[in-house]
Amino acid sequence: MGGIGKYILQRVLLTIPMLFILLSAVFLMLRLMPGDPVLAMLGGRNVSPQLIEERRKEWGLDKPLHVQYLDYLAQVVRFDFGRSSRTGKPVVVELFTRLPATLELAIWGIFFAALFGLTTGIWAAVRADKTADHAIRIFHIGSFAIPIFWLGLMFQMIFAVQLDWFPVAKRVSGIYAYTFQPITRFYLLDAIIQRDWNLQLDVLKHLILPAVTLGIALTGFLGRMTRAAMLEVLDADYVTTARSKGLKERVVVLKHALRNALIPIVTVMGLQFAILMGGAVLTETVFSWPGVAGFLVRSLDARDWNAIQGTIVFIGVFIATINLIVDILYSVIDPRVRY
Amino acid sequence: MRKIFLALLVLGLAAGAWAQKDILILGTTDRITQLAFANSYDHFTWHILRHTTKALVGLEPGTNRVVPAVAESWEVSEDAMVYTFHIRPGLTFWDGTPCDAAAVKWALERTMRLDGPEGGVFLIKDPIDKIEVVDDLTVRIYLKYPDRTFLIRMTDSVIPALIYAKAPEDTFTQTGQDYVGLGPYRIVEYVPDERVVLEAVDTYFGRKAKTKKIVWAMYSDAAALRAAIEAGDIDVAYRTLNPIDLIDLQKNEELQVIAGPSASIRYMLFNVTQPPVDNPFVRRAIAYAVDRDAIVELVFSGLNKPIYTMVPAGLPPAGASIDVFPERDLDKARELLRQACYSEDNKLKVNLWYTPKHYGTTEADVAAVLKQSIEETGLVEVTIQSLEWGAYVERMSQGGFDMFLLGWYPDYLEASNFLDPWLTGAPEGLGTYFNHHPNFPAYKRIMEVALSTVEDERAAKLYQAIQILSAYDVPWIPLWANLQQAYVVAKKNVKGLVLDLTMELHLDLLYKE
Amino acid sequence: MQVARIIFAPVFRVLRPMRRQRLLKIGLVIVTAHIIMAIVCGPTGDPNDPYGISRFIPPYNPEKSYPEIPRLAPPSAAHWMGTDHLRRDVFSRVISGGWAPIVVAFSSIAISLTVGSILGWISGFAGGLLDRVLSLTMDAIYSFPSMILAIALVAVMQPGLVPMIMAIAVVYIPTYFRVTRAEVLQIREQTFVEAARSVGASWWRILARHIAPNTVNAIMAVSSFNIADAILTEAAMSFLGYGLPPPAPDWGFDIQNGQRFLQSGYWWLITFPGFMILMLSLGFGLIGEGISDLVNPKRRRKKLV
Repeated sequence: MGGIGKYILQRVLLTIPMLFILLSAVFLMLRLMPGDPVLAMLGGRNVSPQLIEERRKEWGLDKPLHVQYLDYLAQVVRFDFGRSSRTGKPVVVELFTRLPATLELAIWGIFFAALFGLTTGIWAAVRADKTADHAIRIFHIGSFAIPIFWLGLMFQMIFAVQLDWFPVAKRVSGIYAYTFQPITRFYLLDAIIQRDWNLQLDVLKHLILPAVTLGIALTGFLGRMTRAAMLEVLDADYVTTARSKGLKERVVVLKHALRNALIPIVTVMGLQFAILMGGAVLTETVFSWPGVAGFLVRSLDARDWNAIQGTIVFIGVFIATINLIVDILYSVIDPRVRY
Repeated sequence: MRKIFLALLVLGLAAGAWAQKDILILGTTDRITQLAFANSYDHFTWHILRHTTKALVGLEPGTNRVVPAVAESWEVSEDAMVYTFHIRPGLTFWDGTPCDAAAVKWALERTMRLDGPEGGVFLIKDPIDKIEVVDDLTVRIYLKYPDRTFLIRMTDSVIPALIYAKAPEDTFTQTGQDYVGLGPYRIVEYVPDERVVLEAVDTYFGRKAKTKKIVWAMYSDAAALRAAIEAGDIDVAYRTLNPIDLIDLQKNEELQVIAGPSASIRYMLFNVTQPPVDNPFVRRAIAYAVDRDAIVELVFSGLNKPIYTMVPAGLPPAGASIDVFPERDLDKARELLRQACYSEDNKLKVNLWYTPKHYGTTEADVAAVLKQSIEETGLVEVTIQSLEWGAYVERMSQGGFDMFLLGWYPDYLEASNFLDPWLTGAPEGLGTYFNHHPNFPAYKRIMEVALSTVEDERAAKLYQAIQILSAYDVPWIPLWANLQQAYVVAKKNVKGLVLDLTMELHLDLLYKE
Repeated sequence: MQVARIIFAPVFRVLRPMRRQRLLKIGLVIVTAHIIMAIVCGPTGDPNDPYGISRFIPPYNPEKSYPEIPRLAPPSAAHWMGTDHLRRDVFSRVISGGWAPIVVAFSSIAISLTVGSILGWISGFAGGLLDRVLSLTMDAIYSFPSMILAIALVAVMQPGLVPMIMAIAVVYIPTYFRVTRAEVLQIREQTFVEAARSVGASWWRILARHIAPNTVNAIMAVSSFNIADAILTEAAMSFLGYGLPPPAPDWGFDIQNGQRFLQSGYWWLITFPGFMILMLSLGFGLIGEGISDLVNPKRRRKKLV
């Protein structure tokens, strides 16, 4: 147990300098970028230079760079990213109100990725080197190659505009927009808590297109992992034994083989959050999804320094934490991992 | 116990159904910046604020005549330097606090003292010398100079002029719930990027609001907004739908598509000190070459209107607007370019700057069409460049653009507001550097005379003179009026849509049948 | 003849196993077709005929609106992929827009390959504090979502071709850094290197003779995948408006433009450019697969027992 404790401590300690580097990079990046946040706000109006100066002082932008940097670090340590110049609210508040939207999308994205990835992966492994295997392989490679924003738009065009099965965008229909009081801000969960059947259906309908879009981005990766892991275990002795006992192939594959193949698959899935967040930027943009990633895009356009810094650090911390948790869980589950 | 519960449930449902009628859901792609009187300066934020409280005077919806609001009457001194307002007796804020001369003075002075850098406080601060409480219900405002636009600046279409109470002394209001107003609506909920919910106030002194609850749902883009109105999610969609969507929606049986007048204009500006556009021949040639009809037809599906002067028609004072810029004439453009010593082998090279999102996603198309229309002279090579809004403004204020696209939405409805910012105001921060132009003092003098002229007809003539001169010096090229932004799409049962040049959706007049 | 055979022998040796690589072949065909298209239909550099329309490739100048072209017309015999709202021919725009993604992807990966490998080598050999700092920095970049990082970087700069290349290059440097560094660390330990060292061979010599060739195969496969990925990133950037200035044909940007018309049923505006992005990225993906199969034949598993 002491070994695990030490390992965890080591991993945590390694994460800190990484985050520090990220922080510094973001800080430097913003100071180098054209587009003064003060001017961005004052936007093309007739304002006196002295007002601009005043505002700059207020935001601490008149101080030398190293002082700004130290101030900024001190802020971040307290997990305070200042106020967003675009919305006027503290960045942390903005992020936490938006995080559930992104997480909900991500979780359902993973769900669909697992659904498509596992089924195609298992199928490909069972039919290894047959036509089905080749076709699935092409599908997996294809899913890496699809521009995710285009896929989202095509889905909108086909399923929302032409067939009218799903709404085009947003998380919930306008009719609920004012009666619906989100508690957890995970809308589906909120709808279930409120026991409003129509609302549940509405939220679900809004969720499906973006979640499938995001899920497809991960399908290829998961599918191939599944195929490889399944091939590995399908050759193993205990599977051969199960087979020789006369068990049905379906039972052998799903019960004996899949169960053992799942461990590495699940681990890898946890580590795909980075890719997922990248996909979320575009998915949230296309589907007007009010999440963290879309917030970043808007903040970039508005030259909202506090919001940009906050969001990037937040995403960094978030992903580092998830990786850390997965790593630790894996080391606990699989004793072969050396600490 | 169970019976009681059931009865309550039924009651609740009935109340819900009844409430449904009293709610209007409006959709927009606009956002609130900050719900502050002294620190916000955009259409939607102002729209929300002006429905929560009132100014000394107001503008009558539809006609734009100045009408009583907090003040029931007023007098203007003969030299137009002293304005005396008589406050409506018995007027109270929502919480019962009386609204008297002292309250008016406090609110105006607070706004002027805070004077946020993101707000348009200068609109009232510039002319005001001092505010004096004469008695409980009389307040007198002394100006620094005679200003014919002052009364218009004191209407509720200029947010810094609004009267409120109980706001923090030295910080801006933020949430819409940190002040007490006296308007027809109160903000009950504001979730950024999501929605604003307004509720009618029973104690409002004016005409009772026709709808109890107003919800503004914020959509991320025009596509989402269109989907929402089509699906029946919202009752009204206002600002801003794509032209192609508006044309599509006109075919929809369940919806009404109404075009209001628009005071929002788009134009090109020149930095008149920077070669090659420091040459007036070049600027005039480009003014002849731009194809406004192509922009309107191709980019906006014919929904907007080409304009040939900066001042929109129908703006007070009557007759101020006069078309001064020429229709497209390529031969004339070529002639001018040749006079400026350009030829097929020695083409004029200019940049055209635009910003990709601030004015909507159509901006890139506008730039493309402009480029082609100017290049059709055969003597010009246009390079299109773009910057995100923040960087755009920064570079503009440093004079880094030779030729660039910008838009204007008026602060107050008077012709001078369309002429002053780039010509007679201090244009350096706007990158035109017209204050270094030899004719600048002449423009400035005409404007001074016009502003101190109380008589409308004479002022209109002076404004006309400025426009005529500007067509010779070409510091700008007016391109089109954004009618597209003034289109309201609503369900057929929505009534009370009164549209005027303020481009304001008067919420208190709206109701559902 | 004899000389030619000797010179080309290594080439044939490399190419021989390729014959059975169907994926690789398909990928090569797609990519070659795209590159030919990009060269033939891309900008010519001639101000009077910027897109070679005098050669009828493409049929119309993709940047220009023609009064005779109908507005927003669906695909037809005259306009194979329809026309857009500015009276431009979509087919011309699609075939002329292929050069930017290819140029951006190749240049950015070339930059990250060079920078990443050099840093990896230095880090691997130097060890110590430098190695630690470099590795940590690279890990920080690597663990951050590449799409978000690239978009943020390009938003920092002005939109355009070079900023896109730089932004994408930064994102992929850690990949090559890691591959090279791992390879160097592994090989450093090996006996033949120690032997060479003891004979007095310089590190550069050892690098050139032993290490580089071993790393090349792995890097080739990784590069193909990264190019496929870079094409998507480029498309995403221009979709978000950080790409080429208008009216240059640009797939991602055309999709963004077409988005406005999506709900009115003008499907051809976004379908075709998006399909081209998909195909180009798929082509490089297939090449990457093929090379991986070549390098590591075990990846294709034997049949089930």
